[in-house]
Amino acid sequence: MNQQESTVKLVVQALDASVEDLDEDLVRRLAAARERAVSAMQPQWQAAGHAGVLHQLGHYVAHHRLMTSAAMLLGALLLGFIVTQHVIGQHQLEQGDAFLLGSELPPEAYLDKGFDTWLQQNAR
Amino acid sequence: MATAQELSNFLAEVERRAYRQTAYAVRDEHAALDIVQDAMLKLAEKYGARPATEFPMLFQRILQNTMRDFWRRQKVRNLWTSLLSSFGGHAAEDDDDHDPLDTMETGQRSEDEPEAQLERSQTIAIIERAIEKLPARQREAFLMRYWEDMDVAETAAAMGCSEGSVKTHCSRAVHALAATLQHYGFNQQGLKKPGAGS
Repeated sequence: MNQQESTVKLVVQALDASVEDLDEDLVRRLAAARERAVSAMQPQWQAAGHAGVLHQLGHYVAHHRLMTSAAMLLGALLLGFIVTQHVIGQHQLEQGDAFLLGSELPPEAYLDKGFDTWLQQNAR
Repeated sequence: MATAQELSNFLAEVERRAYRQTAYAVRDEHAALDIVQDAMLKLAEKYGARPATEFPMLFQRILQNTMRDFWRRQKVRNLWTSLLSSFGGHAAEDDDDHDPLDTMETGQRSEDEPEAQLERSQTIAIIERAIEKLPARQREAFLMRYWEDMDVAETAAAMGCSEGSVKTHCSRAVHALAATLQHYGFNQQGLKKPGAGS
């Protein structure tokens, strides 16, 4: 063993010994820090780790919070607009039907050759 | 992908050495504990999904970066302190200006301990002081390469430098340590000084 190797060995021995002599309170605090770190890992990675897509999505959301928030807001606005349009359209359709049923037949209806047939079929 | 158990096992294995390594660098036990805690959290939160085999290199890199953040904050704090008062700025100076003897802990061991235990403690203290005295990059390289048992490539990746630089830092560190140990009269047999009892 040359001098360099023996120096390394000696120093590493001393360093290992210094670790064994760490204060009990310090060791407890390190263990507590380790537990906190492990629990911080679990919700983010471990649960998602079983599903690749969820994992990727979680990773993306975690790193692009602003963009994800903006996309979610836009999505909600778009959904609101579509639902509103649908409700309004439905209401207008119902009103049109009621108007047609409640009003007298327009003269054009009597000129329509298929109207008589349709009327007879629906009258039964 | 690593499991929580793998992460826990890894941290349990390295946490004490990481603490010592940090304490040698920042020379403040409370700050060292905070830095190690931060590094553990960062590893879990940001790299928990990585394979367990990558943890040693990632953890060392995070630890080194967290230490650098600490030094940056200390520099700013010291700047303001020195501007405001000529009595301030004792917390962390540059490596070259720092005298480890000033911050060297004394009386760590009880006086009631046996002589052999005292000898051992003194030997460890001398070696720790020699480690503290090394320039930061040499100390980082030495501890990662020989204490953490990382290979040259891993050490280079963790330190953000070339493999050649790691070899140079390690070589200089070993020479400096050898010179210090010789100065204190250590032999090559282990943790005992020549003529220091049985």
